[in-house]
Amino acid sequence: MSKQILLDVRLFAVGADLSGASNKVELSAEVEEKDATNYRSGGWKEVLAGLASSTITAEGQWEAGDPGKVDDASWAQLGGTGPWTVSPNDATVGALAYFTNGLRSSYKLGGQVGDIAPWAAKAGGSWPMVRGQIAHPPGTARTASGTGTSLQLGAIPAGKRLHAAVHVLSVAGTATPTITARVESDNATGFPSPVTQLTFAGATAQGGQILRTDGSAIADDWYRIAWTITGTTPSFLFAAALGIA
Amino acid sequence: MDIFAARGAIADAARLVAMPTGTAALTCTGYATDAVTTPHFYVGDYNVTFDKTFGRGLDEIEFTCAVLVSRSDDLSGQKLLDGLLSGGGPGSLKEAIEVARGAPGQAALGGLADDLHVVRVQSYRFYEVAGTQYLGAELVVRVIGEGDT
Repeated sequence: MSKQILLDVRLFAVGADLSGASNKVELSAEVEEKDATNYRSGGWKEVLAGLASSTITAEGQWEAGDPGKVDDASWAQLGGTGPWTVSPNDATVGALAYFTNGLRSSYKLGGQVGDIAPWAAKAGGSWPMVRGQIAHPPGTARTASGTGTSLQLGAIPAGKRLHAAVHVLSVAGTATPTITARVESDNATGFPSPVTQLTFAGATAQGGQILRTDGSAIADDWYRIAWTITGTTPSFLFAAALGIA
Repeated sequence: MDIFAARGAIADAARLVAMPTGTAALTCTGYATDAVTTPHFYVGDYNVTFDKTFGRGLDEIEFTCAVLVSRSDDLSGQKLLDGLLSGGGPGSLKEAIEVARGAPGQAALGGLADDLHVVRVQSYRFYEVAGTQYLGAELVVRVIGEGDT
């Protein structure tokens, strides 16, 4: 991936697609440096890795009046945790994505006269920041059960976990339209014998969920998102990301 | 944002300004014209700032509009222009154009834009159009709206 001008960063905060209302997104991940210098450190300071942490900060233009708008979503999410996914250049399948289970810890709005009404927000990661891939694009409406594109994330060693985030961005239909997403794995891209690794709770409204495996090794190296849709004339827009951390 | 339609909508909004009794109605066009009919308001040049958000979510356009009056009588022309350029009152172009913002939460310019703001008046001076001199000034109107429509 070559150098780029940031024009189409995608930001999904739980059930809100904030991409078109944001103009600045920053991620940071760091590990505490713990001093372990001793008499045998050879005259150099010696440090060990302590606790890791991550934050996502974003800002942009304030909007309200719909559960998917920044103001409605921010007030609903404040103090809660949910998936935050950032993709540096659009959110097509396979695009680089960073995501975590973020605590919505701050929301700021308002400015001075003449400003385009601004907002700013921060989420602190309460799970690892995962560097993964977009597994389902946000703009493709799904009206029936199906499976997504296979992604070769690689086999997962013991101690590492498969992480998956799903952002349900819009729901339409009658008779309680419900989407139940899951993550499948296999040892070949055609998924001849898929194994379900993670299953999300059925979603009937805009929102987000994030899950991870228990840290056991998974020999399969191909993964995909799959979904079951029920209801009358259902239609869903959702984004999903998968990664290993 | 459809720029041509937005220019026309600004002109439509300006047309609703209340002119002083005995004064001709304000001719309003969404484009610069060589055929000036005083008093005349038109939407002239503009600057566009693309990509105010990610994903073509917002563009900002700053339209430079002009209002021209006859200079056949110095006093009456300047009095009329001063009224049009005032920040308030029924004869204020700022008030008339900002009606097109719509109610709070509504889209502006009849749905063409998210919002607008008459920012300032500038360049109060004589203007020459097609060989005729007029007294006039510019109004700068800032409009924000979707970048990908």
